[in-house]
Amino acid sequence: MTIELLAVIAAPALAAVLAIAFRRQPLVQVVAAAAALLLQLILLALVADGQYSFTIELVLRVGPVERFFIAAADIPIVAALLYHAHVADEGRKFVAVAMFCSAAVSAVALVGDSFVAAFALLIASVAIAVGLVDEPLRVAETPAGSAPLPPVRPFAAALRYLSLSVFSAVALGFALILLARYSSNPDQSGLLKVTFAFLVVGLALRLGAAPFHLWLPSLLNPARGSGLLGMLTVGALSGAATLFAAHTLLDNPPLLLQDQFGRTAASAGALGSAILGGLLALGQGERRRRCLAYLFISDAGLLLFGLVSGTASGFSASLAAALGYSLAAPLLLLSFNLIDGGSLIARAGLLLGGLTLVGLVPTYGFAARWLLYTAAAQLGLGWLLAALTAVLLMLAAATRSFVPLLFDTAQPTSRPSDRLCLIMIVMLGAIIILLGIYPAPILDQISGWVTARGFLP
Amino acid sequence: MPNLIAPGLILTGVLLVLLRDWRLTIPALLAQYLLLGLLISITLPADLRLGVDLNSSALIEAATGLTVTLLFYLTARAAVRSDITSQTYAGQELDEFQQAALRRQQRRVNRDAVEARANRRAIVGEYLLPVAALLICATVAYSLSQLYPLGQSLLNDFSFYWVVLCGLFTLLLAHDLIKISLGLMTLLNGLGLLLANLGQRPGLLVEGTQAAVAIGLATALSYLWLTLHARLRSLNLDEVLRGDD
Repeated sequence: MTIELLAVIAAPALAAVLAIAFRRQPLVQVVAAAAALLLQLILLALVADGQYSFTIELVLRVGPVERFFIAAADIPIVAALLYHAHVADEGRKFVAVAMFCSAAVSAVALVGDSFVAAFALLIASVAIAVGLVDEPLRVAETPAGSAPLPPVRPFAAALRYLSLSVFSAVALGFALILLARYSSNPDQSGLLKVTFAFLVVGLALRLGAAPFHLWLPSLLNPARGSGLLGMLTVGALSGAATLFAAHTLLDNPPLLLQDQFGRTAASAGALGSAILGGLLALGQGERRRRCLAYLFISDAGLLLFGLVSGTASGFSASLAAALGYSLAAPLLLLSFNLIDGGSLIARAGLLLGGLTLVGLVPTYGFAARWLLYTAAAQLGLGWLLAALTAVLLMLAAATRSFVPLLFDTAQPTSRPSDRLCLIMIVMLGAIIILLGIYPAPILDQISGWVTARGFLP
Repeated sequence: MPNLIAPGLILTGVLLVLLRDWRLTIPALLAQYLLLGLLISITLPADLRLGVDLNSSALIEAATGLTVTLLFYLTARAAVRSDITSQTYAGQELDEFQQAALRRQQRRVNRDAVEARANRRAIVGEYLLPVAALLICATVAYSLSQLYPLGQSLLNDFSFYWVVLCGLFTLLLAHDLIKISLGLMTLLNGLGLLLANLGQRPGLLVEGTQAAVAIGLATALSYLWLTLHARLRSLNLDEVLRGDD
């Protein structure tokens, strides 16, 4: 069984290497990627729950939550690959980048060593940064009469993302080293506080919570074309980062139990970050992609709040919301890319994606958000009011930026190549509504996984 | 010899923050890797018997350092010699309008560079800010080593905080892509230094992954250098960040 689990990580990594080797043959790239993702899902279904040791150091673990996260990460990856193949060429290395992301998510979910998981996230970020500068040259538009200039924005975005990813990996690495030190000598309460601080900063950088969010708006910037790399980052890697945090915090109970002040400060900071993100989103107005980025930034604050709140409901809320990213990110970005054609399906996709991100009925987002409200109420009325303020700001920002698009009177001008994307939007929307009406299968598994550890109230 | 490691690490930090010439800063990074390997071989027990007692972690660190700095050195040399043609970008042929736009952008970069050299105040500023940064580094590193001692030796603690802070300031003061890359690699070295100072051995799997990540990151950064230089004939960050929102 260990070999099968290793193959879950190795299959997409091998497909990435093949995609680089056959970068001038898109058919080989797509076939290898599809085969790898299919193999990954089949193997994951075949392996029984439990822990498996390959060597003394390499321990792999699999359970329902790990399966959910790997399968969910494949949704934005498949959506991005289909969009890349049929609508917008994102560069010859795009398939490889997507496959590296899939391998990284699998490694984070399955490998027991948190150090290796943190490095896997960094490897995916390095691949995304290369993908950013590798996109086909799109000549930036300049005022009439002057010659067009090739854009240099992708370099700035890549550098920003790469630098902050290294900061995040170093912060998480320091936290894990100090945690190992604390485990060998649990009398050092000061060390635990520093460890928790490094962990929270590393996670905030990785999730893009304000004020560590500088990389996220650049990834979804319209100057960068369709924003597929942003879709991979938000849709797949944010979920992996949340699972990494859940593994680390649940495997080391003292982090949440023994540092009451640190937990309160981190919770307050996370909610402050969500409110700040909401305010920044509200200020974007017509700049809709930036508004979308700030909505994700605000939501990252809420994700972080759930993780550091020290309650079982908060933990479940963050894990459930991170799973929702896998549906909301591709739905929103695909809808954005097609809405200029006046498509009704794209408008409906935008509406559903927005409702999921904000967390309103009848979407899956509401189910996750309800758990978060429960966690905040468990901590006190002030926390609940702060969480509600952040969500209301997100709602106001989304209404201000996106509602005019929904009532745009442009005539539909759908191209044949768009049809596949429209089908994807319909499928994603249907899943979001179905899970919104009946979220129990996912939420029960997540809540069961969290409460099984037994130390969170 | 053990007494020279911490001062050596401090000196490499000074060189990385202060200097701009890649012919000096890349060897400084190599020296940092080798000193880190030496520190590990002293603090952790030997686990390899190949005629002499060796430490596998130290060997991995030294091999990673050699690979990373060789990659940087070869890439910087290729960029300076302009082996990369501006007729292609990311493997695609450019039409004459795009080539003209590239030439115009390159001319602007060259003009800016000449103006900067001519400006005497800029030359003073070139060293004034890094020296101030080094003074801040020294104060903060000394305070942190007093407030949060990690290992057995105060000097080793100081050298850890010093290297991490120098990595941060190298990034903050960077004017070109090479300095950014050196700052990022220095920050990653902070992880190895912390482990060595605490006398911890994370295991071969983690050490191997860390080495693979460092080499992967260096490869990606080298690729960024080449791609940017192919377009602008410069690695100057001002041009990259100009007009970025």
